[in-house]
Amino acid sequence: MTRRKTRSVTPPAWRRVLVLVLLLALPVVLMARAVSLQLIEGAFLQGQGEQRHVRVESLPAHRGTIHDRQGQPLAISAPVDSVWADPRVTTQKASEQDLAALARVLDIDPARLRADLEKRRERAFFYLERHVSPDLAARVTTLDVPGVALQREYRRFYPTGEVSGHVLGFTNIDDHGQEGIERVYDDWLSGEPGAKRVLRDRHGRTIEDVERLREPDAGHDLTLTLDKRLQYVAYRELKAAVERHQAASGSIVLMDADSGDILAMANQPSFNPNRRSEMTGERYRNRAVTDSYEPGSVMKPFTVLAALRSGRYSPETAVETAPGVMRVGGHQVRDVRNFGELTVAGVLRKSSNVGAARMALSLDSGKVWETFNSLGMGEPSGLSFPGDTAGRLSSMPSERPIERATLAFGYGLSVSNLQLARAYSAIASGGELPTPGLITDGRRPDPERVMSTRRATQLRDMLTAVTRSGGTATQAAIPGYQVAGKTGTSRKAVAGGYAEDRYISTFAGMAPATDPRFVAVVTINEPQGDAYYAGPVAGPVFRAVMGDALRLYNVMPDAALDRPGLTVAGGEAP
Amino acid sequence: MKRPVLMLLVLGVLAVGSAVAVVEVRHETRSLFVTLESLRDDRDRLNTSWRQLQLEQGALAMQSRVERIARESIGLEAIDPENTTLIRLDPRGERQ
Repeated sequence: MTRRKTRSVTPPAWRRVLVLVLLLALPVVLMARAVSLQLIEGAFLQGQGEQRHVRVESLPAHRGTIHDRQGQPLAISAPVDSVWADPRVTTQKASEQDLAALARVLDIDPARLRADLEKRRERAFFYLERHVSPDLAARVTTLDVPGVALQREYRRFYPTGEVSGHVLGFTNIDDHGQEGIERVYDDWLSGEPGAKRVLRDRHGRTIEDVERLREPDAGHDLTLTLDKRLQYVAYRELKAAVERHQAASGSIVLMDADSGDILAMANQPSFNPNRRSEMTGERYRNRAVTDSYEPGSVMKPFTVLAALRSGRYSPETAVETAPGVMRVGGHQVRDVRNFGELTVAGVLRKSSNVGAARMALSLDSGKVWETFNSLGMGEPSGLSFPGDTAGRLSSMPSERPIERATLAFGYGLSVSNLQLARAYSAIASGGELPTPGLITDGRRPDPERVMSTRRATQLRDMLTAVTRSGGTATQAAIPGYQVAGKTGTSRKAVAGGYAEDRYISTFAGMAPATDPRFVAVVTINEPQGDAYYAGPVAGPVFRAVMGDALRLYNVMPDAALDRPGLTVAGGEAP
Repeated sequence: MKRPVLMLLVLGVLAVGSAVAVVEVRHETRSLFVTLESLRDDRDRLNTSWRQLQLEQGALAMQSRVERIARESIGLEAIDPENTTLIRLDPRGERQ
């Protein structure tokens, strides 16, 4: 008991010293290690750490597909690779041979490549080439140049190319809509990129996915009212006509008469949205929507409508047009020849300016203007499309006789191809003015009634004569169907008056005339040569496009029996 | 045994059990994540090839190409009224 007590009270002195020394040595060792890590190996370790690190990578979201009304794709985003470099790494690690090989694969000058990288040596990201072919991407990967890697991106492809370029528009290299539908519905079509945390190795390659921060949210699809088949026919026929007549430009709109759905819309000159290099404003303007012009005689049916409304005219009322020239306040209104006495229907069939002017002047001032205004002239067509023009119609009806007279045959106002198609749809649908649209499920205002069904039928009956023999547009007649329509050959306004040799030829029409299904307006701007009248110039385009539309949609012929060559079988008549 | 000792033993066992469970769940999470990622990769790859096939189809089914083949190789013609026979489905339909 005593021994134990003595021992515990007095331990040997060396043990205390040992403990103290050890305790003092520990911080010194730690200090030494810290100094070594920080000062001696610091740079090396930092470099290693940076090379194997966790990074947040973005997950590209593809843009929605655009379909036509049958579900055929018109614009698709497909993944492509872009080649990028980390100049900090590449400038230091890549050998001269590496860069030369890379330059050869990318088809750029090696000196230029080196200079580009040197200039950005402080930066961590630099695109070498965007949107490369899969084949080229594979070759870049094989080279394995330090700091050079691929990035997944989406590129927009338009399978129909030039055929529907104007309607669809295009996107820029960063996948944002720049024109057309791509621009209007950019928010709807664009996706929201996602993000994931990944572990990268020192070559910049992803070695492990750590977690998903955000799922990519793909863009929504869009279905257009276009019919790819009819769009192609419209494009082909318009292009052929513009070339045949060496015209400056041309447009066509094909519309569903009741709903205002646009089934085809094409313009010349055109562009291929797959190739950004050939785009100039001149080419990618959707003229059918953005360009307005003085329509000329295609407005006469609406002048006749104003006359019918007054109650003083019926389709059979006689209108004196002799001697084919008429003086209105110091100006002359003239016809191509003296038509003598015509009926109201005859004024339309022969397209008499004198007749139209005489009818307009006999009405209360402002009636023709009111009618035009109610049919959407001077206001945007309502189509959601960039540059939807309002055209031009004076804000107040003019009192001056010459202006009232010229308005009657379509001068002194300007309209777009689309506005005309819309106004003709009112005649076609039995009096209701639709709002044109390109999106199948788009909400559009209900059609507005602008004339009675009876007036619309009367107008259609009169306009049917235009495409029969003796009318101005026999070239627009479609075998088997009755076609109602009107030609317009207007002189272009130039400084100091109207040009002698520059015309705009328009044909606006609908079929089948007894119960129209489609409306089409064809405009050929500045056809060259002797044939500039709308009938021979624009008529054949109308016939080809409308004929195919009627056939593809299985529309029952309404004139089967009064035209030769069509056999009717079945229907056992008792 | 005394109560505190028993408590200690039970808690100790629970702690070890929970630690093992954590490891298990961690492992499972990681392997499921790997599966998920590979499935996502599959989906992306299928999507990609589907889009490329659509493009290819678009190129092959281009109207101008179809039209050329129809006219030149197969000798098809657009129908016109001369070779059209209209069939009335309504047997009582009267000829006009």
